[in-house]
Amino acid sequence: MVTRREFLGILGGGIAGLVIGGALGYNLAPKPTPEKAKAGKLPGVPSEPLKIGGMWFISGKFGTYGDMAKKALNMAVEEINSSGGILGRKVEVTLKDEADRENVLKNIRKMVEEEGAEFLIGIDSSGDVLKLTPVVENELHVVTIITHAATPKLTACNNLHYMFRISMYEEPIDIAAAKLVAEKFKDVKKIASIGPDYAYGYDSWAIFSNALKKLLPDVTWMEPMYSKLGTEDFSTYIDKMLSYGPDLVFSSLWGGDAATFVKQANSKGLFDSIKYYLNPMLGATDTLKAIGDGNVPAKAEVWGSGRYWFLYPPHDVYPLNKNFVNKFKSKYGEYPPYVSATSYTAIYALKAAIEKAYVAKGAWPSQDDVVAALEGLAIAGPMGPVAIRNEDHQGVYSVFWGKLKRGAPNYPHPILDDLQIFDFGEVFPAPKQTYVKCG
Amino acid sequence: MQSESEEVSFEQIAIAVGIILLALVPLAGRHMTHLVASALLLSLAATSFNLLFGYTGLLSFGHALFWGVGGYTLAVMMSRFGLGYVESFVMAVIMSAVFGAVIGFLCVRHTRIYFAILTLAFGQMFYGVAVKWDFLGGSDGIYGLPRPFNTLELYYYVILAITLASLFILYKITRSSLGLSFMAVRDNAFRAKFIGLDVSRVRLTSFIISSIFSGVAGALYVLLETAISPETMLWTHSAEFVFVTLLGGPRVFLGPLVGGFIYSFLADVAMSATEYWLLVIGVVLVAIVLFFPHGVLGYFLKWREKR
Repeated sequence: MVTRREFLGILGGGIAGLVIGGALGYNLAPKPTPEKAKAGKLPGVPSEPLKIGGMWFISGKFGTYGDMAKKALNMAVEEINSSGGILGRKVEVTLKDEADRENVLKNIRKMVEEEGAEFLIGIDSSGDVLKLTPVVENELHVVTIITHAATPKLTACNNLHYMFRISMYEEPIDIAAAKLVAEKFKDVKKIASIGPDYAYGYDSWAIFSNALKKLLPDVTWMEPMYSKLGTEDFSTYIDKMLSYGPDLVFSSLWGGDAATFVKQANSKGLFDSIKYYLNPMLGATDTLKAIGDGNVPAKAEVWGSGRYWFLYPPHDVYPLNKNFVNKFKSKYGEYPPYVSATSYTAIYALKAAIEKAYVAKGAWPSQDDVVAALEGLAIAGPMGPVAIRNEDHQGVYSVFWGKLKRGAPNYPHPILDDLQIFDFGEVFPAPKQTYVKCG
Repeated sequence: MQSESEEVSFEQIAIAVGIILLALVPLAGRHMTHLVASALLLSLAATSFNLLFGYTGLLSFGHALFWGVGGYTLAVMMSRFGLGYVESFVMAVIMSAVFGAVIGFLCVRHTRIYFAILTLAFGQMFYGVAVKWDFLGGSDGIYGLPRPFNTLELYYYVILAITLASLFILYKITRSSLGLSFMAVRDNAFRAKFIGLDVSRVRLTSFIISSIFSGVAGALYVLLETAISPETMLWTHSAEFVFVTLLGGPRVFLGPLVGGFIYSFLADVAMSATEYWLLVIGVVLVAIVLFFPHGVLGYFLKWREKR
């Protein structure tokens, strides 16, 4: 027999989960509280803060990226907000962790659709950026500035509208590497290579080897080798290289792998038998810190590049970089790596574009207005002046390659010296062109 | 005074109210629609996992493999072979059944920890295949798949309809003689053998049905997400099914559904509040194992019975 009480119990049981769930979702989620318009604000500009959603690896073994991005963002946001925000709107950046691998797209959608992010910045992984592109372009329609992910496919193989990339990508660096070899290391005959065992490693070798073939057709190389991310023992790879007897080793290993390889190659004597070692990812302060002054080879020349090097453009001729580096150093006690420089620049690029569009329109710009303003925009960042190309939404700036040198006594880690600068006109492929296969 | 047949209808009312609420979800905005859609699919996968776990007594630690098989099949059929939604979906169901049959055949000979380890190993193996194989997009996966009708809202109803239909089929199976044979094998395989059941075959049947519906959930999820990557087959995703089932209650049919919704909403709130949301989930798991071994719904039903 069922009493009224039991009936209510059953009915309640069936819906309780949904109601509680719904209520939780609704009430615990942050809601924008409309502020009263303040007197003296710019006409057509909303008064609530401008929300920017950011995503980097925050936790896990790549967590340094997010940490360094966060530090630079805090700096940029403090600077902007203390001088009135963007057209009077305070800037707020909320971050999500890219290391939450299964929820990358979910979190991006959440930032835009629930948390009210008007623009997006960040993304470390190339795989994530490729997945994100159709979502941003076809579904979310918000201006997104990529600050790290380096696959050529992003800008070369897509017709981007809302997406931009302010950071240097892998292709110009690898092309510059080929030029460096052809111009400075003409005696090279045999090349060996090692890279991480995924798309970036394969692409990097394809770009470098194809570009080099055009410049030095007589060079030969051994079958490229690839190692798993996080490899701890490179001895079999190093032995294979030693038995091949190359003059030059090209390595696209990055982060901890790049440092581990240099240390082990050093102790196994690889740098005594080769003349040159090139790594397009070596110019990252965390990698150099991991290598340490003690492991800078005495004999072979080790060359590195990156998206940004804190000593370039030189501080005496380019005060913007000097100020950025000094401020970062005094605030956080270390020299800024590239993720910091590109994230910092991304915020300022948004600011510049919004202001430019506002001047043209006289009202807060729409997403399309910001797109139009970003196209062709030139912005001075710590890495030098960056121009955003119209055709492919890629930021272009000059590429550096430098020779590894002990940093002591002036720096806590090895540094890149004897910088060779390649103007972007020399090393950037024309828009939509790449050595990498699209699709 | 009411008769016993009317007593059943009260539970039906509760379910009907639930369905009406679910049908209204798109009114609550895109984020909520997305959230409930993924909760439904997680619940479906967990319910199918529970057919094997709660009903047949086999703990699979690699069930995300079948989610991945369904998902990858749909994505490959659409992007590599240009098939339409319906054909791709049918292929996804067929492939899930084929994978379920082959992997199930190799696994059901073993039980307990050996079964769990074997399924875990198969899951990780196919994760490795997906990372390595260019045809499946390698570590990047397959992305940029268009949703049917090009709108989230209409696709939500597709997910809702297929999920409810799948749950209904699974429910009917648990109430059928087949379902009884699953439970007989779970409770005592020796006795089940003595009354003439082919224990391996019963387990394999359960395994295949379970794989099919995990595959259905995976296939539907690909178009919700518009992308699939190898991580969906990682053991952490398999563990999510286990977690959700324990959360809701493995001995009640709707346990995994309740668990799936609680988990999804809890994760959503925790993710907004902190970068370390997995810590919150971990604490909840420990609390459930310690204090509510029968899960939230299991506990609720017990409590109601007592009154």
